[in-house]
Parts: sequence; structure tokens; C-alpha cells
Amino acid sequence: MGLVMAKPEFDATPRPSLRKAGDSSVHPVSEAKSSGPKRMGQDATSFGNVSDSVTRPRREKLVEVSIAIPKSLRKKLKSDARAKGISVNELIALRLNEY
Amino acid sequence: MQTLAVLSMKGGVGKTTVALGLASAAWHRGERVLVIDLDPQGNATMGLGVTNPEFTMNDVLADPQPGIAADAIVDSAWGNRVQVLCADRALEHRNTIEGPLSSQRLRIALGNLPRQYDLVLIDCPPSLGEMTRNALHSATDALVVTEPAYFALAGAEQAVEAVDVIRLASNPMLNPAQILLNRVRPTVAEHRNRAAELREAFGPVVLEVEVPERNAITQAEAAGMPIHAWDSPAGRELAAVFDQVIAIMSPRKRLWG
Repeated sequence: MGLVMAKPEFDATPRPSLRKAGDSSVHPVSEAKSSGPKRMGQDATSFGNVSDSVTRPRREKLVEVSIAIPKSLRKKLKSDARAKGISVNELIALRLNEY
Repeated sequence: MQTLAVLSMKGGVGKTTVALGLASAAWHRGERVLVIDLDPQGNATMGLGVTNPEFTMNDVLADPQPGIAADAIVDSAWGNRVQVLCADRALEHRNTIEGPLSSQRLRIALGNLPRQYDLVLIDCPPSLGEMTRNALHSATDALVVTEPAYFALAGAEQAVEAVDVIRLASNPMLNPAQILLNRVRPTVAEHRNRAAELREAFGPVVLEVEVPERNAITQAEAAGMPIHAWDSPAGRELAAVFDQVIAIMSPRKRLWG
């Protein structure tokens, strides 16, 4: 009895064409958030137990501070935070750090 | 079909020079060659005379569908027998772990493409990050480039270890690494001593043939020409060296050698 080879299945689904990566125009050292597609699975940060993963910085305890600011400034902070892809809290902390 | 990754931990030892030298040797033999530039500096891309490609390896690895790399291949200035998958600085974005198949992105994106070529050369960046891991998961052979200097030798050792780790853990098709000494000046005592030290530590893994330091290499690179077309005594000397290297690294030689 001869060997029966399995017939390879032909996949007629057309492969999608290559498109530009979302971060192709973003400079690698820029702070702008990468918007490159990540279809391969989870986010990179979920892979903590690998030798070349970057150790996360120690998380500091957060405290709340209430201040009164003009409405226009709050609006500006919101729009700046949106542009940078971070939260308003993070943006304010960043600004205060720089102060 | 052979996929050869050219790597080193240390920068500036001449990985791209060696990759282009080998591409030139294969070109001279009439073979079809694909050069994959995985170094965001894009020097192999430049050396092959490609400027402003529509797609780069950043686009390919951002969305690595099976075989999608075919869409990014362009002819080099050397002719259509030497083709390129180009690099640009944005490729640095991909040098991070992205998903559970992160180190397989290149292999998936290449699909059956390597079968269309006699030789696929991968020019790695000077690190053991995700680009180099991807290269080693796609490769059948690895050539570690070093120069006869203290830091470079330490980098070579780490690169050889990295090849072993990938080979034993996840890519059984990958042969053990071989080491090529580049930029050798035999009249310099320090070079002779370091070369002897390397041969003593690694034995036959270090190729007998060495690439001498010659200006003709940088001149040919700047002109976007294969070293085999650089008509000068030094150009011919280097061409003969790369002919030897490619003969030693060829699959048939490895099988019977």
C-alpha cells in the first residue's frame, strides 16, 4: 500500500495589500504615541516575563490636590492631553514635574 | 535556498559592509539575491542605491500578514537580480516585543518568498533586540561579524551565544554561527593578537578567510556599486575574499565540509 499524501488546501482568500504603518512618519525618539497596528496579539506590556523587556519604573503613591483654574485653561489642558494621547492628570503631573 | 543573517552585538564592525560584499559575490555568480535591511540606519538600503522606497520593513512588520513582504520588495541599483526590503528610521518602532508571535513577524511576513531566491541576506541592527531575534528565527545560517579589537570580540561572543539560544530553543533550521573577522590589518600587532585570541577561543567557528581593511569598500559603497564591479587592485582583492566567504557559507559546502 502506497503512502497517501494529504492534499494541500488552497486558500482562495486574497491577502490584504501592504499599507503604511501608522507610525511611519513618527520619529523614533519623539514622545508621540505610536499608532502602529498590533494585530498579532496582546499589547507588548503584557509580556513582562521575558529577558529583554524593560523594567517598569516604581509606581509612586498618588495624592489628590484641588486647585481652581480658569475654565479656558481646563479646556486647553484637555485638548493638549488628547493630542499627546495621555490623560489630563498625566499632563498636569508632567507640567508640574517640569516646573 | 539559504537565509543568512549577518549580525553582531557591537556597532561599527562592518555588518552592512559584509552583507553587501556577500550580496555582491552572489550577484557576480549570477544568483538571485534578496537583501533584508533590518537596521533602522538603513545603510544596506543606501548601499544598494535605493532612496525613498514606498514601503519599508517598518510597514511590513507592523502588520505581518503571511507573505505580505512581497509588496515591499524593490529592485536595487545593481539590477533586478538583487532586490531589497528597505529599512528606514521608523523601523526602530518595531524593535519591541509586539504580541505572542513577536519574534516570528519576519518569518510570517516573508512566507514562501525566500524560495524565489538563491540567497536571502538579513542585515541586522547592532543589538540583540527584536529585529535580531526576528532575523534569527527566519535564518538558516548566521554570520557574526567582528573586528580584531577587545570590545568587538566580547560582542562576537554574545552574538554567538544568542544564535545558540535561538537555535536550540526555537529554530532548529538554524546552523551554528560562524565568525568573520573584518577590517583586519595584518601589519598591526594588536590585530594579530586579537585575531589569535579569537581563534583560540572559538576554534573552527572563526572563518580562515579575513576581510582586510581597504578604502575600496567605502568607495564602492558610496558609489552604490557592488565590490565586484569596483575595478581596482583592492576591489579585486576584496571581491576574491567575499567569493571565498560565500563559498564557505554555501549550504552545499556546509553539508559536505
